[in-house]
Amino acid sequence: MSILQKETLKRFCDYTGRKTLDEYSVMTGIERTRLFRLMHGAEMKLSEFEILQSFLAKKFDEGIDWQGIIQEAEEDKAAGEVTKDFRIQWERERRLGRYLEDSKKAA
Amino acid sequence: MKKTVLIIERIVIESLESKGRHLKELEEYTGLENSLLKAVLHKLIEQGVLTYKSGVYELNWLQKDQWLPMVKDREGMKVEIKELFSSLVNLIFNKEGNAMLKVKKVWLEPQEQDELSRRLKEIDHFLESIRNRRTIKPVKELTKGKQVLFYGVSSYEDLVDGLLKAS
Repeated sequence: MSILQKETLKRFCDYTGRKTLDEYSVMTGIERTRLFRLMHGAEMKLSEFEILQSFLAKKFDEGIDWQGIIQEAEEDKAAGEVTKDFRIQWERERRLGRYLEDSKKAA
Repeated sequence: MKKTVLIIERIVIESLESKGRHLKELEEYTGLENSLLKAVLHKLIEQGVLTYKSGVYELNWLQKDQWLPMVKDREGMKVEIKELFSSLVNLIFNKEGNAMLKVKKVWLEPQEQDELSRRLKEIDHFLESIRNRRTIKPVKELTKGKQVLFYGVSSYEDLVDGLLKAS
């Protein structure tokens, strides 16, 4: 599974919260068994990728920031070469940064 | 990577432990600025940690098995403690707020170590007695106003070894 596919799936799960496969299937129209395979690393079809990206864009106003996704994924890969604590800290600072950006936009 | 609870999320969760609250009340309890608080609330609702009904935010106790493990996660708590302590150090060095920090390196004979352990236990008892007093005579406890204390002791060697192992 490519970096973009992984990031798309990760964002989808992050934004929708923990749900059952059936609930995800209802939300997206993607079959339950396909979702199971995707979550276990199977390659995404282009149509599935488009469905998830559109869902994110419509539901959470999450524009498709391709450059940002690739950059984050490369940062994650680089972070894999440092300690676990550092990776956790890095991830937390990114999330905090997103909160601060969202709150500035909303203010 | 497993998600950990951020401190700004933790303060919201703690503010809702005893009961549900309206937005204004949460602003008062957390001290978070309105738009940041709303962003956190939105995220926690998405994650199923909170529910929102008739203007009241509450912890999602019906589905606590889904989010409580994340809230109680040890790795998360470990990094939160580090962040809070790091923030305390910054406050001291920037001379901000009313924070206090003492760091001492001192050689202790065995009986002096015992004395120190006893005195640290006295701090525990003092704080426990306050908690018990609150159950009898509750007071309004704003989450943001709680005093955050750190106290602990270790040998210098163990601390240095710990740092080396973590690198």
